[in-house]
Amino acid sequence: ASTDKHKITLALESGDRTSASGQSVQMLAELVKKNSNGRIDINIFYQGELGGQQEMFDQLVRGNIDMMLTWPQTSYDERLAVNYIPYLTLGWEDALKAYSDNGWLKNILAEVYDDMHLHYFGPYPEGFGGIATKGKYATNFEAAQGINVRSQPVFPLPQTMTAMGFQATPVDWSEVYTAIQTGVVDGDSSNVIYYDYEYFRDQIQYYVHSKHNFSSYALLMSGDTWEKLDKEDQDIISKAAEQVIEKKFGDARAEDEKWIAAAKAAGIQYIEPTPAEMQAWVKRVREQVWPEAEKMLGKGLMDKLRANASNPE
Amino acid sequence: MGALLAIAAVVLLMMIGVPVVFSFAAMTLILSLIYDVDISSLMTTGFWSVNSLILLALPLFVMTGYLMQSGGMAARLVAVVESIVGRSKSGMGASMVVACGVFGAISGTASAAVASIGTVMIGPMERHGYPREYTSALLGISSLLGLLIPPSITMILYAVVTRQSVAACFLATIGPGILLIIMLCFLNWLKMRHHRDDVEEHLSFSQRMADIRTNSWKALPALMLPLIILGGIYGGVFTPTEAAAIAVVYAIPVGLFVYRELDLKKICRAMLEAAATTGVIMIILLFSFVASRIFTLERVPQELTDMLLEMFHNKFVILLIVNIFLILLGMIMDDVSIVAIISPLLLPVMVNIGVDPVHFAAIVGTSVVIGCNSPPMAPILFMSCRIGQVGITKVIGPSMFFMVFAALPVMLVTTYWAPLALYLPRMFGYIN
Amino acid sequence: MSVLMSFISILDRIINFLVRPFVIFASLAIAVMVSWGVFSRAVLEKPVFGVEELILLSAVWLYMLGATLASRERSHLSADFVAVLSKNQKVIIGFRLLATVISLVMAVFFVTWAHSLLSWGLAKGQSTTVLHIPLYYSQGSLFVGSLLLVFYLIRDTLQDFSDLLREFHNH
Ligand code: NA
Ligand code: NA
Repeated sequence: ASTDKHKITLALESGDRTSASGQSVQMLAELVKKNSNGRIDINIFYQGELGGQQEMFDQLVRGNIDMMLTWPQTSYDERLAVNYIPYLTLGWEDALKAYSDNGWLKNILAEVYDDMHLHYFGPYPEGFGGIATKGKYATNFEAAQGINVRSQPVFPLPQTMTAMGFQATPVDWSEVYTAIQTGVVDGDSSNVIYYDYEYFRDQIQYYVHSKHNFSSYALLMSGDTWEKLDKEDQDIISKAAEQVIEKKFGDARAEDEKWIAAAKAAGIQYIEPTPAEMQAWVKRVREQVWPEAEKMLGKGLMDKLRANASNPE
Repeated sequence: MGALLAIAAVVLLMMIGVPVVFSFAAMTLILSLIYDVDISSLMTTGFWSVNSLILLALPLFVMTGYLMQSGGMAARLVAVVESIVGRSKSGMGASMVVACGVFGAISGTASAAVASIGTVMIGPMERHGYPREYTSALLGISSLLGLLIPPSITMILYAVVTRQSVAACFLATIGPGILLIIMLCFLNWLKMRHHRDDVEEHLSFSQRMADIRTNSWKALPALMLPLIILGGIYGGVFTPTEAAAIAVVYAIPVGLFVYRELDLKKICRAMLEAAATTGVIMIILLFSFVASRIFTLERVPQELTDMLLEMFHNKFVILLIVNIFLILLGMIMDDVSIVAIISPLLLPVMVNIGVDPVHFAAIVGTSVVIGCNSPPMAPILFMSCRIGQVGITKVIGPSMFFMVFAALPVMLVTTYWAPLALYLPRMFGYIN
Repeated sequence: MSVLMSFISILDRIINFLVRPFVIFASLAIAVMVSWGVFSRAVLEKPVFGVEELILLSAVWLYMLGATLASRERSHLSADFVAVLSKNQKVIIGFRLLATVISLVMAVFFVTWAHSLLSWGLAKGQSTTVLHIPLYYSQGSLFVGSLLLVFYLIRDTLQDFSDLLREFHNH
């Protein structure tokens, strides 16, 4: 048996101690500690403690941060944009299947991470994103005209917002609250309701569940750290990660519904577009954004996506 | 405590005259040796930290300051303030204080206020019977209104390193800034109300009003700038960085075509000086971000918090310790170092005893007022002496008077009476 | 020594000739680009994506080259403590030389760190999200900036050293 002691730095891109992702990584740390008889100590840093999104991802690739739960940055490898292709999966079953073990999307992602010298434990699904706004809301292209929402500057999320009729403005996560408060933007986009409820609930009034993206984090480890561990320790961490991810797959949907209820209770109007409105948005977005994505991802990858994408009902 | 060792090393290096920027490089090197981390790979932290849109407000606000100075806006502002408060015996001193406050609403640094208000006012004040050492000391303290009244480079730095909202931190120091104006005017009145003034003027009420009208009209383009900056930020039109850029774009045509004191050469000069000033700050920041990252990874702030909480159990005692600590460090460190390195270290302690991070912004801001004027590292006081052409030793006396009876009380009131700092941020909804 | 000094002064003039116009242009360009961003968002209602990438690229170069301007003028923020404690010129100049040498050593460290950042950037080939500008374009600023800092510190070391020699000759 191994006797090596390891201290592993794990960073969360978003979520604090009490968030669902915070609790998941605490569970991971406890499992690993128990199964290694205290030899492996996972040191957790919550959102913002070790810097912004891009910086932390760099630190992960360089090996200063050993593990991370993150929305992958596309700056190293544009193929990671597959994680953000809009209206790819349309319902919970499809989405979870795509990301599950040996699901088609998981396999594509694992390959890309491997090329970046990152070890991919698996996805951490959160749910479908929506559009949270103040003052006005939209469930179709025409109504969205003139509504200015914050967008993550990750391809193709801003392009998706534009295709849906909104104006997209890039704002760093740490500045979103102020931006909504002062009216620089009318709201936030592409996040699951948890974040908009947790951070902006005193600002926003509407949450339109457009479901244009399926938000899924990735649990990653720096390749160097991974190789430094012996087989036994790799297994300890992998098994614990598997347990955490499996639990999340079971919990994700209920978790999302819990926050929808909480948001409603807090007076946020929760709006689901009608099937006809959804179809119109899906059509627009697939027509406009997918060809752009093809330029970046290549025809081969995009054909794979098209073959697997869900069809609107 | 490796962190304390590293900070002690920085202080020592600064004392023998190593520039702040290289002292900070040495600090990160020492930290990397103590904690066995690789700085090369942490450079990416430094890189991403300065690669920030929020920090971009720094060079832009410094540029605005230089453009205002060479574009003739400062002189117009002084003229308005003087026509309003300047004619009584203690009026010239009060004018200087208020002019620094008004100028502070445009400029982001104290040094811009020292240079421009000082150049315009020191001569006239001497004619009105103010001793030069007194004037220089007053200028040294009043110029710090440049960082208490927003926009403020110091508050931008604080907001960035502690991840707070810039707009909220701007609001936090307004109360303390106004209190400092009142205290300085009062002390000045106490000292100067009976002094001999050979050129004292006695204008009739109508003359005075006419004077105020003409001067205000002339200063209008300059007075518009704070409205644009603050109105824009709090009215939701733009971010502090964008406000800073607009201020630059506004100040150039006003200086060129309205006041006609700016020319191409002066614009270039302003850009070069602003770049030199902020360039150095950015490299200091780059290293302090790397150092802070090492502190965080090694959980130094938590250790410090636990230590302080174990030693002292009373909130007010801890606040007092922090106050003393900030004043002592302020003597030997410059304002950028204090804000960049010390405030993130102490913030967890503050949060732990229930002090809002935005309130702590104001505490740090008011401590910097003292620090910038207390030797040996007293950049603003030195600058003020240069502009006033008096020796530093002569200025220390009157300077101590203003520190003990104005700057220090302002810091204490800000620390122990939270509403002074928090009223405005709360009113604008930045905190609950 | 004087040959070396005149070589340094020629190099300095060349650097200055290149750096100054760049700094002025970059400052104005940043102010205009940021203002344009506000205008197009607030007035034209067409927010532009990607300009901030150009702005930040100009900004990091502005910072690094700006810092070299300060180095050139020896106007780095520093304390005057020794001059307060001692009136002995030899002591004052001696400490100044010591401080300069320490600065030089630190600047050389900075060069190696910045070089490591740059070569990592070149190896990984990251690029910005919207305009796909390679990140090593901005990361390179640290390397160039630190090299220029070393250059000016070599000049200062020679200067301080000759000052100290002169002080010893005169007495
Ligand atoms: Na100010
Ligand atoms: Na000081």
